[in-house]
Amino acid sequence: MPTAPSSFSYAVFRFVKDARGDVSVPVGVALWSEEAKWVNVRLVKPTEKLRRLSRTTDYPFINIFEKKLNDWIKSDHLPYAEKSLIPTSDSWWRHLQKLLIHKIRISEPRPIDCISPDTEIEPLFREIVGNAQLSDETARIDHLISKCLGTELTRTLKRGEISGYAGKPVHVMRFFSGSQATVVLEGVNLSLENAAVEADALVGKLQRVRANGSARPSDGHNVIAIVGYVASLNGLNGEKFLKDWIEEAGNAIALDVERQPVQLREETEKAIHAAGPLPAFHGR
Amino acid sequence: MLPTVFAYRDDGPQAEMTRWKPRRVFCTLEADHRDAPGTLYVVKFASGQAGAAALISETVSTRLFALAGCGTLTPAIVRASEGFAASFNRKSDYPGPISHGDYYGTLHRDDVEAGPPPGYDDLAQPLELLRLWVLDSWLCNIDREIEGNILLTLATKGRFHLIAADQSDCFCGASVFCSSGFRNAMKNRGPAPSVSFLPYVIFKHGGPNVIRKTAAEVRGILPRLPEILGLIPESWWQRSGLTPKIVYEALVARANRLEDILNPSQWEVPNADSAILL
Repeated sequence: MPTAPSSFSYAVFRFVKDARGDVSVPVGVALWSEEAKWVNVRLVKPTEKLRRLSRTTDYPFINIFEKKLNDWIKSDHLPYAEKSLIPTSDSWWRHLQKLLIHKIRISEPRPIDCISPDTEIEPLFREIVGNAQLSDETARIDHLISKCLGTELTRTLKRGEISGYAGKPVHVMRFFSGSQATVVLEGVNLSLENAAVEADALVGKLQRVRANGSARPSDGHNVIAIVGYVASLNGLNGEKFLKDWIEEAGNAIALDVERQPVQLREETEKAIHAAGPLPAFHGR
Repeated sequence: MLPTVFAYRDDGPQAEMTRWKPRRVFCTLEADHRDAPGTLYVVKFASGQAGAAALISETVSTRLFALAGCGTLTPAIVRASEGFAASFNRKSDYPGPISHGDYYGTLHRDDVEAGPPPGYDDLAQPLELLRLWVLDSWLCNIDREIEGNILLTLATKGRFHLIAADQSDCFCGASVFCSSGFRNAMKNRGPAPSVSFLPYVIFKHGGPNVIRKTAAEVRGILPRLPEILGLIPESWWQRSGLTPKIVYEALVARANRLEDILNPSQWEVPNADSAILL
């Protein structure tokens, strides 16, 4: 006899920029189910850039709130609760909604047909928080790459997550999952002050993608990685070593989005061809 | 004198779950509201005898906290006209009717988050916590550790300053404050509750000496007490059944015993000079 599906709820955290003007920015999601005894929260991290959210003046409020929220979830206790509430219940989150009256607020519990909460919370977060408000820089590189690829090729590549190390999702700029391989298209700005940090993060991400389902990165499934980078005004100067590092450690082809647009498109076409057609069935 | 502002329009509940259910209210500087919409305040329309005691507690204690160097919200007397009270009673979801007259409000701040702070590392100046505790112990505040009674405002490097945000339950709580048991309660009450890591703050910042020093500084504001009690509207004294004299005597008596109440010697560490704080 099939078991009844679990009923899930979610809510959206918002950071209030201007209370009087009712201006706020979505900064996280909570997902829970009483039947499944499952609850999780995904709030924006200090390493993630969001448009209209300052790392120095806004993130500390999210950080301190997250500590308190985790304590409340762990202890099953909420301030001013007259009876015991459990964080997998809608009533817990309704109570929290009344409690949050300052910088961080939360919406009312909302229905959602969630089937696999572990893998769905990140896309939910990305949809509500991430994709709607990619940082200006990420959006700019994404736009430049799309321009290189052209409309049709851009549509062939999806945005979102693919499975990485330990089967955990990794958010990539664009990807194509063929029958033989997965093509990952990423972007990075090597002209910025923190280019080394960004390059390291990108290499780490690509290694995690390659390590899908295995303990050792070298055992990973077939991934073709292409990186579009933005260089300094007159081309790569002191940052050429970062491009080399991405190619070597990330096992990727790195191309300048402004100076090598044709090569970027051709390499992407070639990679999609090599990845083979889409698998016949690729349902959830 | 505290500034008087005039309630113009209700903007909804601020903290529905607390006892006095404060409201966000736009208040003007002029009684005829020609400067509408004015400024947003958080107002406690506390009514009845205990309500008046809570308003006295807020006004006196907030001023004392400010004089002692603690962060506080900016207070004002909020005057509700007959028209505002009638409209409020008809339309708002507030649990009880309010009458026209004077109430306590503070300027609304949208740059804060509710405390208490989760840990020591979140504090910009940990001694602010100790100072709150010393004052709370003097004033017999019963609920500082409750969510929202401290507010957090950003300092630098992701750390926060503390704001003493709710003083309605000093004097052993509003219900005791306006009761016949007030004097005895003030005499017998021990140190105030605080957050779980207060002992760490005390040990890390000087142990008993820092308590003694802070207590002495707090006692230094005693001469200002008559002036502070003069801030209270006469109608609040009448409604509460309290007098400035009763409050003055209770506070002076407790200030004189503050060191006994705080018992700094319990924080003495044998051979502290050679000890290493882990």
